[in-house]
Amino acid sequence: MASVTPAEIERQRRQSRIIYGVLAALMVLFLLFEMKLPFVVGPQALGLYDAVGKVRDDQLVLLSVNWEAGTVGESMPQTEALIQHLFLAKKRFAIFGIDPIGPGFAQRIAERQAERLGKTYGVDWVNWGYKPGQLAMFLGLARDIPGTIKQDSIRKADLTTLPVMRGIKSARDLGLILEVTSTDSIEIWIQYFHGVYGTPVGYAPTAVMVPEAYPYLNAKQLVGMLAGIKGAAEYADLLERNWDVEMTWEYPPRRAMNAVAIAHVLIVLLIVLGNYQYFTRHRRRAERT
Amino acid sequence: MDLRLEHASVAVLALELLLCGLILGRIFAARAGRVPFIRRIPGLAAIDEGVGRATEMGRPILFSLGLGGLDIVTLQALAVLGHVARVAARYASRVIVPVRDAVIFSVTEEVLRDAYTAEGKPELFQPDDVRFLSDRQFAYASGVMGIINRERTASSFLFGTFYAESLILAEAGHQVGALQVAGTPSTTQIPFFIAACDYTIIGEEYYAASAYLTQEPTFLGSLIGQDWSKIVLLSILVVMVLAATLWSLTHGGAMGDFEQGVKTFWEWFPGRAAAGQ
Amino acid sequence: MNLVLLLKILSGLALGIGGLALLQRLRSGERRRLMVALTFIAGLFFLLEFVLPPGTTFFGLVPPADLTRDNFLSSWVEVIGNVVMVVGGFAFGLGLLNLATIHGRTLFRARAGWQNSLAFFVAMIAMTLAGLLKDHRAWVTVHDVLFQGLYQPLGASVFSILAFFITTAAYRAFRVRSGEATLMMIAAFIVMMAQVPIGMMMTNWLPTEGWAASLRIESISNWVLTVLNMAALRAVGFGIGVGWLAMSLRVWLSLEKGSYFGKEM
Repeated sequence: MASVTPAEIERQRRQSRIIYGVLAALMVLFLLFEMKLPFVVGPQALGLYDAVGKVRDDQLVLLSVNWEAGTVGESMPQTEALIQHLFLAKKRFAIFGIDPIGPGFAQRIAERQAERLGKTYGVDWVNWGYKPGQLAMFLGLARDIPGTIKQDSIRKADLTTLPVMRGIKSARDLGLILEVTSTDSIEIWIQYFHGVYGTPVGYAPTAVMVPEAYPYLNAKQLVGMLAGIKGAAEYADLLERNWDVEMTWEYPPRRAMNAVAIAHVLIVLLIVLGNYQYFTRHRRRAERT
Repeated sequence: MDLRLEHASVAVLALELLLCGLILGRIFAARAGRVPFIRRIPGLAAIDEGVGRATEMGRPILFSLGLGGLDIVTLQALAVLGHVARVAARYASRVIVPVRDAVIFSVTEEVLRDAYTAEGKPELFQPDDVRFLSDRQFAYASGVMGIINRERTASSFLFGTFYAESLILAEAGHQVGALQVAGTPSTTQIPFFIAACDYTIIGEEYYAASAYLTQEPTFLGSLIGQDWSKIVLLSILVVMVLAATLWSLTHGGAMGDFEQGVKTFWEWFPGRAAAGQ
Repeated sequence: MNLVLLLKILSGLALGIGGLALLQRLRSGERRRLMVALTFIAGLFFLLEFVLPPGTTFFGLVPPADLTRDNFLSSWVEVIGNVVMVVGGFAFGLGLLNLATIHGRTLFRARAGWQNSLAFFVAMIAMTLAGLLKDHRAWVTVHDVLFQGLYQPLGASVFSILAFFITTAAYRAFRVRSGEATLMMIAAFIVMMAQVPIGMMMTNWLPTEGWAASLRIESISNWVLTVLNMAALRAVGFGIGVGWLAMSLRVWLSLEKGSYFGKEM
């Protein structure tokens, strides 16, 4: 900061390098070796899990995927967890995004899981692809899904011809909207889909976005939430407990969670250390004067 | 459920008219000469310090407009940029503005050119100092980090909508010893800015920035109008909390009818019997 | 059909160029008045579309498409959205042009750091080609290498810098300097510890049912987030919402003086 001297900045820089080194070493160690640490599934992940189960057979789940390469570490396991659950629970779903890159990632996950779980594109899931996130598009989507999306993004087939879209016309036919995101794209679903049609909305943001979601959770505008990698790990736990099928992950969330845990512990230790230094320096200065 | 909120109900319209009336009323009152006083906002007062520091050190200033599109938040950031650029022009300092939106890019160029012209130094304006980096979040963040490190900026101003890149930008500035002022309505990013910047402007202070910097009657009046609007909203909140508590106490905790009543009132407009039809 | 579309595009283009030429011929005062008028009309459109109840017609002349949910302006929302998108699309070229100019100049004049500019051009051309030709078999691998092998890990790396930066920032910032700083530190400690299994182990000996359960660290953290944090967020949210409304009003009615473009508005 500007108030500190160049010597102090240099000292802080040296300290930072040591901290970065320790953090990197600990993270790698915990990512390499799987450890079983105690675990509590929070009410938000449970809420989302239950909401998926409640979707009716005549309804479609909208999986809105608005993340890109940067947040792959958090958003990928969240998307993997949700897609596995949707396939296992036999819920039809549509991948969609207002970020051009997100739907591609989700499609890759869905294809891999579909092969393993014996699911068919166009019957069990569909990819609507990317649409620029203009308000008019959302309003159009709410009223007329096939008219707004027109064709799927993989086969370029007319949406109405795909079995997965049978009976799905407007927001009224959506049983759940799941938003996996690294930006603030949740409000549009709450305002124009939940607010207008009462469609349940579930949220899977990156950890830094989590605090902003609590007012919506409290007001029951969100049915549940996967809070970053912790949420994905909780969901993985729920899936493993409730389904007799082995789950597969490109980025195992439990292992990542352990690395996150050790980083948290390191931060707490550093804060304690920082305060100890702060006090001793103050005391020395006081003694000198 | 039906199409609530697609169009204003009577209650929404009345509330909106009331708030707009309050704000416009105060704006016109201030323009007519009733200029109110506003308190000092340390973060905004530090802007001149930041520019002065850059002049002293002979290094440029960095001004990031965040990740927002051309919306109200970014317009406000552009207003602050206009002020920073004018002060910088006065002291013959450079302001580098990396942007992530092509529409904002052309507006930013205009703001910067006008600021230098207004201070009588159009020759100091360098078109290369407004840089479109990328519309991808982390490509933009790494681009800004690169500029901070290469140019060793003396001061960083981070104004606008920010997401996870906020700390990356602020910490990069800290590492080169820059004086940093951040302002954002993005509540999730405020803690990061508080941890890494010298001054952070939060919440509605962000919208008070143009009033504070320009001392224009229009902005000052608007600010007071905003305060009155908040008092109205808070009063409604308090009355409703009291009413709900009273209802709960007298109806054995059953809130169904109360909630339905509020909803019906809130969504009612002529020609429509009731909400939830 | 395609001919009609082509004609539409051409006439749109001609209209745009004509409009721009006309704007150039206007004096600055007239141009300002035109801007004020256009801003007002655009704002008025969205205001009226929102406040007019469904079923409202234009003096009985233009009926809305759907009487139960639209007014006569509703069908234009999408059209205007498309116009905004097209205008934004044109601006994208501007950004690219700016990047190419800056880096081109650095490269041709062999200024310090010209290697970075060369890297920019190579990356831009390679990524554009790979994106355009990704459906051709020969280019699939190139696309995968560039996208999955380079772009994806590069993006993730920049995001992961956050982990390092938050560690040093927290180490520096969380000092017991004042009452407020202490409170912030305690809140941060509780929320951080409740996020991770190791933190939860601290209060694992407490029962999961009954009043004592609310003393478990995850319960305290949940309370901090849903009560304290939310109260603050909502209060800030009110301020931001009202600030947004006030600023929109000033922009709509062109009440702002010399704030953006340094000119009298």
